Order: sequence, then C-alpha cells, then structure tokens
Amino acid sequence: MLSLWLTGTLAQAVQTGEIFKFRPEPADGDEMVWYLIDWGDGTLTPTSHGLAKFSPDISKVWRARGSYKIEPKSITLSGKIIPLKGTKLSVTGSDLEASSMIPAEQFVQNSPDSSPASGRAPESTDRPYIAQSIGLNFEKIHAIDTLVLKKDADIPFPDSFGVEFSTDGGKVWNDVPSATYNHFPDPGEKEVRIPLNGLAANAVRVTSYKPPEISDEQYALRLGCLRAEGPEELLFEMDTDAQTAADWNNMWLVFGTAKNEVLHYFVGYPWPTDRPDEGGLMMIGSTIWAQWNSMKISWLDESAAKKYFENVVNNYPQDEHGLMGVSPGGFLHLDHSKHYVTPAIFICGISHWYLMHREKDFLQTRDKQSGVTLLEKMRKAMHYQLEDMEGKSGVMTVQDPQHDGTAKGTSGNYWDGWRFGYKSAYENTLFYQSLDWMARLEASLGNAGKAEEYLALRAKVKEQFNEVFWNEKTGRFTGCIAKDGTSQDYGFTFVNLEAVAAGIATPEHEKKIFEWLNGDRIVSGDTSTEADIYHFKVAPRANTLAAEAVNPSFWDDWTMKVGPGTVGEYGTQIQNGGHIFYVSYYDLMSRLKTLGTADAMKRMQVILEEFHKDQLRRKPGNASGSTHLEGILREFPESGLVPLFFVTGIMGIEPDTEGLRIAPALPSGWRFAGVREYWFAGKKYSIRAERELINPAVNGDQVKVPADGSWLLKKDGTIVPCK
Amino acid sequence: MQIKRNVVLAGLLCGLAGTAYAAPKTPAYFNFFASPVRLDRYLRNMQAMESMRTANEPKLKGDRSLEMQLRFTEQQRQGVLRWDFAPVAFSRVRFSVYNPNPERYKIFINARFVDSEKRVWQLNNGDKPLSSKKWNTMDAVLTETAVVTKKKGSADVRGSTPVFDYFDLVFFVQKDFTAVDQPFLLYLSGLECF
Repeated sequence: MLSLWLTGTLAQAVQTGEIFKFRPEPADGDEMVWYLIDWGDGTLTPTSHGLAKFSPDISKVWRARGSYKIEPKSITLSGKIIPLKGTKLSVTGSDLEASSMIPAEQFVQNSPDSSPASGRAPESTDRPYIAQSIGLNFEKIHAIDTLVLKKDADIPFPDSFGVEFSTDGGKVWNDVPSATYNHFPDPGEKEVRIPLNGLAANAVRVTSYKPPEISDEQYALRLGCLRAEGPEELLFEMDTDAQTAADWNNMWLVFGTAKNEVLHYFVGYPWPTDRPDEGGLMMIGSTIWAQWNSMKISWLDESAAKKYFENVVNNYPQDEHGLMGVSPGGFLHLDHSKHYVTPAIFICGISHWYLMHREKDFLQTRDKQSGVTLLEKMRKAMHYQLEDMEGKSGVMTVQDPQHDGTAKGTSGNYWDGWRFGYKSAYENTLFYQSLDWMARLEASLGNAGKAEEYLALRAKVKEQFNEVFWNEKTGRFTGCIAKDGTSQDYGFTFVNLEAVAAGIATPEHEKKIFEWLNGDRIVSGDTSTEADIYHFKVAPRANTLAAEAVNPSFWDDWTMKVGPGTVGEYGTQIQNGGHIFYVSYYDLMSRLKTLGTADAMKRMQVILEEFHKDQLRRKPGNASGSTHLEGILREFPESGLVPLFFVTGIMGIEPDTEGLRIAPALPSGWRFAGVREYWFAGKKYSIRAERELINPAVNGDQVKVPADGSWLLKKDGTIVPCK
Repeated sequence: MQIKRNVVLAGLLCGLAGTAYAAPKTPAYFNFFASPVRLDRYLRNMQAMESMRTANEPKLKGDRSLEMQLRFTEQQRQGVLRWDFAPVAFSRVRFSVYNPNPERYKIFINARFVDSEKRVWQLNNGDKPLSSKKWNTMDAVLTETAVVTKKKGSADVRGSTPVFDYFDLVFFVQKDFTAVDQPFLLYLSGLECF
C-alpha cells in the first residue's frame, strides 16, 4: 500500500485509503511523554510513551475526503499537557466504508477479581482506587487493529486507564504496555482510537485503576461506546486451537515487531528501553545481531526498520585483515573485548538479507569511511576466517593471545561471561554456517566454483568439529579447547543446540546431546541434571555445570563474580545457570531436525503455556537487585526468533540460492499452516502449506504448497520443486 | 549534601491512614497492585527482603496490597523494595505500611527517591519503629522535607522539579534486634505520587 509520511507544518494532500503517517515534533523535557493526535475528523489517536526527545510516526488511513486540521499534543507522565505544532491536510479520492466492527458482547467488572457481568457500567464505589473494567467478549479470536472508545454522555471520561486482553475468554488477562494512559484529556465528543496492531484476542477490556468521580466521593467507570475493529485472520494461520494460534501470534507481536511495546525511541531500535518499561524489541544494530536482525525483519513490510538495518550494516568497521568490529562504534564489545565471531555473523546476516531482497545494488553500497563495498567486505571477512584464523584447515582458531580460551583469557563473543577463545565450538559453528551462506550468495551471483569450494570445506569443518570438540566423557560438545589444551566443558546448552541446529553434529552426537538435555542421561559432576535443566521452562539453563564448580574457572569476571552469595551465583545469572530465551529457537530447530516435529511442538507447547500466563514479561531479580536472571526482555530482541520458529521451522521458509525455499514440517494433526504476509524479492506473498494439496500453485500473491515436500519460490513468482 | 530547612516530616509515620493534605484528583503516579502486570516488571526485592507478592488482605485504598517477607540476619539487617519508575515528575508521596508483627519486634523504615540527575531524596523516620497492628502512613512533600544528596556534583535542588527514576523503601532493624533468621511480613498499601 502507498505510504505518505509527513512531519512539521506543511500542508499536504493524500488519497483516501492510503496509509498516512504523521510525526509530531518532540515534546522535549526530562519526563517521559505520550502523544495524542487530534486528526480533525472527530477522532483521536493516543500513542505509547517514550523519551520526550523523540516522537513516533503515527499512522492513519483516511476514509472520507475533506480538509482537516491535525492538532497534536504531548502529555507528560505527570499530566502536563503541551500543545504542539499542527498541520493542515487535504484528503482527496472516494469515500470509503468504515472499518468493520468485531461482533461482541459487552461485560463489566466491578473489580479485577469479580466475575464479569453483562451490562454497560460497573457499580459505583466510594473507594477511589478500586479497579473497574468494561470489556468485550468475541465469539472468535480476532486480530484487533483498533479499540474505539467514546465518552459517556453524562459521566467524565476516565483520565487513567489501560487496555487488557485475553486469549482464553477472560481467564487470564494481560496488559498492552503501549496502551496504558494516565492524565488522558477529556476527549469530548471525539472517538478515541487506540492502535493495537493486530493483537490476537477473544476478549478485551478497558480497566481504570482510578475510576472517575461520578458524584460526591462516588467513583465508577463509564464509557459511551466501546468497540473493536480488525479482521478474523491472524498473520500466522495454523490448524490448531484458537488459544495456541493467538498466543503464538502475540508472541511474535511482542518479541518480533514489538508494535505494542513501550519503546524509549518510539521504535523497536536502536537501543533498549529501561525498567519498568522493558519489553520486546525489534533489533539491535550491532554486528553481533546482524544475522538475527535479518532473520527477523527481512520478510516484513517495515521500511523504516529496513532502512536502519541497511544503513547500519555498512557502518561496521573492518580492519585491514578482515576482522569486523562489534558495532558501528568500534572493535571492542563494551570497551572490553574483540569478537572473532563477527566475520561469520556478518557474512550470514548480509547473505541472508541479500537473498531475501535480491537487490544487487545493496551489495555494492560502500562503507562511508573506507569506501569498500559490502560484497568486498564480506569476501574479506571470509578470507580472514580462512587464512588468518586458519579456517581452511577445518578448524578456525582465534590467534589473539588475549583470547586463548584459558582461565586467564578474555571473553570474546555474545556470551561475554565466558572466556571463549582459541579453538571455540561456538565460533566454529558460526564459521560453518557462514560457509553455507557465502556459498549460497556466491552461487546466486554466478560464482558456482567459489560456492563449491565453500561447500567442500564445510564437509571438512564438520568432520573436524565432531573430532575436536566432542567430549566423550560428558557426551556433548565442549565450549572450547584452550591453547593450553584444557577442554572448557561447562555443559553449554547454547553451544550444543546451535551446533545441532546448524547441522554440524553427527547423528550419533545429536542423539547423545538430547539424551543429556532431556534428562535421560546424567552427566556426572554436573550442577544441574534431569528436569532441572529446564528449570525455567521456557529455555534450558545456559550451562549445566556451574562456573564456580571449577577452579580456576572459565568464567570471565569482568562484570561480576560467581560463587555462593555473589551476584553471579549459579542459577541467578543469565549466563551461569540462568537462561537467555533465544536459545529456545535453536532448541526447537534442533528438535525439529533430529527428533521430529512432534518433539519440537511438545517443547513449543511448554513455551506457549508459559507465554499465556504473562506474555513472558518476566524480569525477576536476585538478592542484589540484579535482574539478569532470565534473558527475555529489553536487550534481547533475539527473543523474537522463538515465535519465528513458525516461519522457519513449521513453514520451513528460508532464502536459498535460486529463490525462497519452502519446506513445511507441519505437526501431524494439522491440515494447513500459513503466513498471510511474507515479503520476498520486493513482492508481497501469502504462503500456505496444505496437507491435501498435491501440486504447488501461485495465484497472484497467493502461494500454496503441499505440506510434504520442498519447494522453491523464484524471484519471478514461479514455483518449482526444490532440488 | 543539602539539608532542607524543614526536616520535620508532615504526616510521616502517623500510625494511621490520615490525610495531611488535600490530595489532587489524579496522582502523577499511583499503583495499588490490582493490574495483571507482574510485580518484577517494576519492583525488586533485595537483601533481607526475600519475597513479595500481592495480597487481598489487609488492604487500605485499593483492591490489594503488597505482602513483603523479610528475614533479617546477623549480617543483613536491612531489606529493600526498589520501585522503578518511567521518569516522572512529582514532589509529594504517600503510602502506608501495615505491620502485623508484635510490638517487641522493632522494624524501622526509610525511603529514598533517586531522580534523573542521580540526586537522592531521603526521607528519614527518626527513631520511630513501625507501629504494630496498624497502617503506618508516610505522607511527605519531598521538596520541603527530604534530605538531598548527590555523590558527585551539586545537590542544589532550588527551582527544579525533580523527575524520579526509582524509589527505595528500606526496612531495617537495629543491633539489638535478636529475632534474626525469622520471617516477618509487612504490607504496603500502594503508592501515590503527586
């Protein structure tokens, strides 16, 4: 759809039906603020809150032609209302029908714990802080785009309220962080239209935790109108129960696009939001996230996020040998350490991005500092891995003496609490993946010989990996082999699961790994065994042998110490007995690949059941106040990989040399699954796998494939069986 | 360090839910623990405060209260409830703590608010422990009563409107407190900031 973006005070013209975007000027100040846009057509749109130095793009589709005066204002969290510069707008074209209303039954609740009752208004109370709700029950799950509120004719509009929703008809309620307001100005006769961005729910309610005073010391929530708008169809369609489908979609909404989150910059990047507003995030611009960012956003219609990604990736520095910096800011992670895995991540991420978009100009964009093109950078990064790090031998080795993998070494990858270095299983798994992605890229550019070279080396890397890193004693891959020969095996679940998902483990090793993780086999000496490995339910503990169990330890205590009574004590730190949620993506992909869809879905079901309770908005602290126990929110946009498992695992969609590979792996009971909007090579598709279909078909933007088989959607929109 | 002239805390620890001021209609911030939002999204229990959860009773103004379990030890004689705010401006706070424990267990309370300029606004309770079997209400105008300190730079707050990032509610016992290693419950009614 066409999109028109506008800021400042220039008068503009738009067509009805177009997506119109307006960005008010920032309010400024130290307090956080939210914005309220009066569109001049009798409707108001409130935004989430964020830092006052920034303001969001606010979308609107005009349905009636005319001339409108847009009047924005900002409201500080303490209630100060600041009028901002507006603009005039001329809307042309034909008038469109109003959005469709979701059929619903209204209910009220006199307090959060009271049973819902039919009716239009809760009973009044003499206590000012008794929470009251007015809600809607739908017969089916819907993707709610907008919740519409109007003021009661006689009673004040609530100046303090939030939107809450349920996917089980009202048994469990969750908040919508972006739709929580205090000091909401009196809307008068105007409609308040709250964006909910396709939130999947079969019940929604407006709750005021301080209902308006309706008469002398009597308080009650009243609304003149409450209705919801949005389609019945969800982004991810699946042949399962409605609650599971809704929760899976909402998990993507929270951790994928982060559309209903409170974000300091009003967008899901570039850097996290602090407590108490931590939530999902779309991406982080550092090199370390380049591959995950591409996996998450390359298939979306998110032009601003894509522009940000394409700009930031060509600002990663590269030294004269080919090593990549950790971020546009330099080579040291938090001014502490180099990451020798960055060349691999960079290659994987950029290759993935290119193969999703097929725009050769992108590969030719030049680094503003060095003038080197992206493609040249990638090839140099690969050369660095092969030659300087001796990857062509079959095992890539970190040569930097500071990163020698010993108990005196320095940490050197995403898992910065551990001294990964020298011959590192984590780095070599990424190296193995980078050979595959570079091969796909080179082949797509017509360099078949180079691609073959990389694929041949992959076989050698796999063989070496299983020899060098396999620990016969524990029956799993070690973290790294230090320069002094020490095997640093702390039961790293993330190392083992990513290795299995990448396909680098032999079938025998895959089997042993899952025997350990599933608790069928106890590794002698481990701190965590059997069911305790999945103590946090949503992901395995990062390591099953405590960092403090070995002396001298492989733990790098540059940020915190480990051991009894410390901040980093086993089980209270994300990297030492705690967990980081994204690892579950590799867990799911590994299980899908080795144990089958049913086993992967069993794991996913546990995650979904936990998500259902609280949307995984979990940030418990330890006795020291550190909230780094579970790595789900804030600086973990990679949490979005877990719901993405639906796209890459169940639907089996991944870019390949010749096109987009679709290799579904539907649960046995499912007749269909689909993604309603998936962008590939500049075109929008709806991709659906069906159990009873025999041949694939493309009809306009509708792609249908049989549930069994592997298919290739080509750039020109045709589909063929995968070789 | 800057000590405000008026260090007498109006309404502080008056042992009853009394209102010392006419309250504005809607606080800049308030929370009475009724929402489905998990507590750990904005609260942290630290040191001797070993757990927290919402409770239906006792309650004062809202639907629920916050039950806090403390276990003081010889080494750890204070428990802290840290309350994180999205940066918000206010100058007055009001909350109540219910102490169900026998009077012989003397538990004291301090509160400190940290603003966006890293200044600490400290409300001291003097030497009075929490009254037993009662709601203890703290109602104070920070800009008039708090002791303001800052590790580095000036703590001069004249003419400024503080924007607060977090609040520490500190429960502590003195050296003569002997009931160490025992659990003690306390209840927080909620928080209003104006």
